[in-house]
Amino acid sequence: MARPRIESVGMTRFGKRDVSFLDLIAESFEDLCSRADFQGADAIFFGSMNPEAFCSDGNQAVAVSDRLGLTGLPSIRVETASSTGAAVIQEGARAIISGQYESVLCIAAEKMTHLETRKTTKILAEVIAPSERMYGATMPALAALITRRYMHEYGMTREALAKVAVKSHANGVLNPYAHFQKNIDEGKVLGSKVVSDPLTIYDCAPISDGACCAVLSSTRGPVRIIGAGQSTDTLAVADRQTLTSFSATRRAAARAFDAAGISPSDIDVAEVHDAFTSFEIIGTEDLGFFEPGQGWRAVECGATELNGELPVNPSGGLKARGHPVGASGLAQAIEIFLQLSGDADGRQIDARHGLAQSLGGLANNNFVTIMEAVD
Amino acid sequence: MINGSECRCGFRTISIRPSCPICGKMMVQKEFPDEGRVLSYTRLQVPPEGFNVPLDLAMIELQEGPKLVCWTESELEIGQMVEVYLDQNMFKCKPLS
Repeated sequence: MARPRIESVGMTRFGKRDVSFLDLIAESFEDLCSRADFQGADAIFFGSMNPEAFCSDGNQAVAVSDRLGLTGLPSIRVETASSTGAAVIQEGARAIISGQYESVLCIAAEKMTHLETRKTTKILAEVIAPSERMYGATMPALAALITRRYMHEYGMTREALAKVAVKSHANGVLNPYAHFQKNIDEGKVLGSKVVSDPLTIYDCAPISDGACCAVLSSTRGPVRIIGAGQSTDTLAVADRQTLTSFSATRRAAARAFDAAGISPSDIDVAEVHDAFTSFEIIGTEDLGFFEPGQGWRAVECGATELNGELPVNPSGGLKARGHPVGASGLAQAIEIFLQLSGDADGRQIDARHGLAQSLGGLANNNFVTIMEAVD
Repeated sequence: MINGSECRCGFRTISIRPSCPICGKMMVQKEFPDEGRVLSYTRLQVPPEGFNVPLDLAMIELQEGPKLVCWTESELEIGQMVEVYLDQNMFKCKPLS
């Protein structure tokens, strides 16, 4: 089977950005063009979780082709809640594998910070099952229920969670595209405002604006996509067998590793969907890097730090790079591209195989994408 | 008793729904005992508009398997047995005395 390549990438800095949704997208495309020669594309795959609610704009697949001066190209919108950016790159890859297109332009973006936090939180909570939302359950509340259960089952300490945030911020300092480029210590995490106990505000990814893009090609580029998997879970968290593992990640990972023909121990660097610090730990277990209940111990011993045996979220993750929801999945793949092509500057890891994992909604539409450096 | 649905595949839920989310087969309505144990709980400090601040939420597993998110006015511990009851059409839980 043909293995599509990533030819070039571009990003805006993530964060609180005082520019429009379409201008963010144009800025990320300009970054791509400044990094590499854009040789055109046969189609656009565009993703955004909810520009209708955040920006009161519709028909954005066309707005994007129009804004970028690419009128005439097929342009399609992809959406799977907070994993939208991962869906974009997997759909783009599939289009190339099908043979219909030689190259596609993948774009993912979200503009969120211009609204009041209450309003943004309400829009984000609309992805939650009505049976849970009607009780006032938000994403942080459901994550807190999961986190407390994990602590109960596996003895994880509150300090281990804080270490995830400290690591993410340390990596973010080295990423010029990151929302937060400032170190924090454990005391800062533990002493910050409680959102939903045991989670504090430093356990939660921020609300950010941002856009990113990548050109996929059938023949050109320094990185190959060698495995892709996606799987769904029940809409309601309460309808699942366990709270401490996300079965949709496990199924997506099994498919991706099977297609790639490699195993979790072959992965040299991973971007894991840390919308909450505990989700990074659960993610590293669901992906097969660590046994169930051992992910937090790996954090404690530094295994997932930049110089550890398996660096996780060298970009700073959703926590420090920022989380413009629909863009994060593509931004993760871009970080893996930068790492595998030797363009990750001060956070460069010696890596041949990388993996990106993205959670849609409360972990019920999850993607795993495995990439390899081309020799 | 609490009204819910059951599937031949073993899936049970407290919602009334026509088909099973796991296997797609028709579900049958079933009444579940209103006692269960606390799987987890949290105090949400920033609930959506229109809800109590703070908001105490619990995840309960009923004795015959289905789980639900509900409100509580009690201090809870994981593993504790609770009674789930309706108050103005909303589920709440309290420790079994």
